[in-house]
Amino acid sequence: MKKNLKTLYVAIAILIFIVFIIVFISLKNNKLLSYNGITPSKSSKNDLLQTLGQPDQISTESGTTYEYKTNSPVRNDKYFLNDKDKVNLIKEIITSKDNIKFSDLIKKYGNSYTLLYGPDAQTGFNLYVYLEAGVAFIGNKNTEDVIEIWYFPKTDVQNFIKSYAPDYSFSYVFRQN
Amino acid sequence: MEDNKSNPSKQTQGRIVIRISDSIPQPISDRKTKDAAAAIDAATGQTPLSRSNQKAIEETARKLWRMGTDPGKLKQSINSSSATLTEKDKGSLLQISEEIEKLNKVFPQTTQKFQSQVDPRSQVEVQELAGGEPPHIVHGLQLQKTQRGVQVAPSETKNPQLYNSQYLNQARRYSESLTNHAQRHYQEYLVTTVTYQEPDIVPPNIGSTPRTSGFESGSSFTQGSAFQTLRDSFQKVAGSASTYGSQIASNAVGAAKISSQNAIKQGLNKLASGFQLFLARARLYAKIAKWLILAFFAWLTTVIITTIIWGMGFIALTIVILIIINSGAYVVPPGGFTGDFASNPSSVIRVTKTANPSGRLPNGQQMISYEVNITSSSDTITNISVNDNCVILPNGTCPPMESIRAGLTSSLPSLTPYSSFTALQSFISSVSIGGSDPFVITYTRAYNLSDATASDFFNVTGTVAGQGETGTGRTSSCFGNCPSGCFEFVGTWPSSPRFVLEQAILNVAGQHPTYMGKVCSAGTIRLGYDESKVLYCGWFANGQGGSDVDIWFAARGGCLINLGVTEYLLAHEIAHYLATYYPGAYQSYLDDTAFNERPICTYVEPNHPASEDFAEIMGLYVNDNLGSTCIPNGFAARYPISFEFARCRIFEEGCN
Repeated sequence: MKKNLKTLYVAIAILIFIVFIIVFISLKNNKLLSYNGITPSKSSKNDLLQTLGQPDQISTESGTTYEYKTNSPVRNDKYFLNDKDKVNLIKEIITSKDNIKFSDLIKKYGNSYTLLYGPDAQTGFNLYVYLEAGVAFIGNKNTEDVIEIWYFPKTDVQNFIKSYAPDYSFSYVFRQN
Repeated sequence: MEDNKSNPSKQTQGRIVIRISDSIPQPISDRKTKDAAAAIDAATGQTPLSRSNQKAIEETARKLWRMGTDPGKLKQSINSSSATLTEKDKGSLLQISEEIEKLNKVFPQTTQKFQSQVDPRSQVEVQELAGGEPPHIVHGLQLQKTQRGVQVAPSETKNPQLYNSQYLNQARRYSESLTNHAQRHYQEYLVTTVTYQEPDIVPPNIGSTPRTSGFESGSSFTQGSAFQTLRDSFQKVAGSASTYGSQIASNAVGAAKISSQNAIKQGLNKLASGFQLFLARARLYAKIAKWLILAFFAWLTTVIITTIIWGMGFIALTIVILIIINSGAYVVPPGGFTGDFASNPSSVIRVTKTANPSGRLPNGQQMISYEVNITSSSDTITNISVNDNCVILPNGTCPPMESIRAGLTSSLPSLTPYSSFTALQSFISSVSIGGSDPFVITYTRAYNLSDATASDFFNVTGTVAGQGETGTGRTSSCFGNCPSGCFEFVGTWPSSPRFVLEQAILNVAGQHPTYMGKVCSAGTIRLGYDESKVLYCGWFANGQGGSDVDIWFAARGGCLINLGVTEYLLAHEIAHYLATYYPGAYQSYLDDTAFNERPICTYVEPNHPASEDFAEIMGLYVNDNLGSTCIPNGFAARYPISFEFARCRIFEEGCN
């Protein structure tokens, strides 16, 4: 009887440990990537203003976008807000000064990306999308140049294209140049 | 060393038979499903299986799916046959079942039509055959065991000679796309909450006219819409007219052959079953005779149709050629050129320079005579100064100018001799040159070069209507195996456009060695000529679209006709290569204030990507003398920041 009780305690302890591991892993996997302390689908407009201050530019062309200056004299970081004033997409601008290379990102996020072709596909700049991680980047594997990193809530590929990358598709579109 | 091929003991010779039904399959009435079945049948055995067991599994699954196999019954049969099957074979067969399941889920309507061939009460049976044991199949499939797994037995594949190669290619692509689609969208199907719609993948029709273009139908690559329209119009008229009749003939005879073969197969099945031998033979001969008669009439009909279509096609082709010839003069190249491209176009000071002999020369001593013509397109040129810049690549010293003579054209043939170029420079400062009487300068240089390029630039500066203007005349001569960048001319090139492009390469390489060095750092650039592939003048295809050509060219407008325009074109197209392969080049443009000056107006499409502006800036930096009305005072005047970006960041010419 005593021996059975001991076995039961050990079994319960193992069970608790397994549950703990599962919860830990699932929490870790569900953690969304953030940029400058802003997390897509979690952070609000107020969070953005509190963290980064007033934007350098606001555009309202298709939804509201807050823009903040970067190392580039031309391109700004963009934070796209949805109807509920939540940030739902961030486009981080990468310049040569940032020294972020294509292979660095592949090393970081792995080879399981969805490849989408866009307007500069013929110049070798494609969109590498990691749906599970909620991150994508525009890069050229020949030159190792990366020009943008995007952060977004987890979604499927159809919704990603529709919501965040309407200029991109699975097809390599030849254009005369 | 043992040779596996010559050692029968190492080869796997076994066969497995999958019996789907004991009754002859019901015919499929739906046209699309029939085409789909025909395409899968035709493609079976055409997929290269040499390296991939997965391919073999996919092909077997497609074939079984097309035959109406229920994957549930198949799985059941595999499990109940496990005593006779090895674990490896069982694994392969279960994989096949799963592939069929995916096809069933993603293509439910087509599956239903395929399964309507089979009696729903029939059971699937899987059996391993021993030695020479006959398969006894009424409706089923024979598989062959290989070292990697199982695949459709060669005896089950159709004879590829029955089809034309284009149909076979289309059928193979169609079949593979079914599997690819099923694998890609299977998960999607499982989680979809809306009414599921079967994807519409259209099978090739064995009776349809195959495409004749170098661009494959069904390819994942697509062209820009304007080019597509242009290409399609050519295909519809010229391509179809030339092949339609012969395709109808071959397809009809092919169809008759297939039907004959089917008849033979059906007959043989019956003979093998041992029932009603005499009756089966009689039916067989009757069917063969019927199809032979049909084939004869099909052939006769198509000969008549072919003759008529050839006649109509010839007339249509003549009309199209006349339209092309007539409209060729009005094709507008990038920037909407307006000038006379055969001469130096809209520059106010026009400088044309010729070398004799010109082009490619043998190594060694060579005297070259130069003639420079200076004229004005508007008012008289005053305060003229001239200088000559001679460059030898890869290295060398320019020989001095000799036999210098100059004077107005009206004074020809007696031009005034000058003892030195300095003496001519002193004299010309007091001369006024009008449009009707060009000023001519002739001189010679005595070269002695080996594997080198001699480029000679003659610059004229003056005042026209109170404005300072500059004009330049250029020539380049190639001695032996001269350095001309990293270009390889591939395919057939007409001699004149090739000569002009070679000159442009020599000039750009001679005048902008750093730029050419960057472009060439990524390797050889293959240049092709095909007017049907190019909408404007050039196209950076980057070795895509079924060819290894990097840049396609066409002689249109001034392109590959006028040297200056060709230099611009070359610099533009190789800038795409630079952006694609030279680290940091394109990124530096995106982060330069030059980016704010885009779009560059000389590029023909209004809504173009930034990479076109990048390429256009490089083209205009090399030569902006295009006659484009949107840069009347030149590239540097209209886009000063872009000019500086090109000069300092890309060409690296005279900047800190």
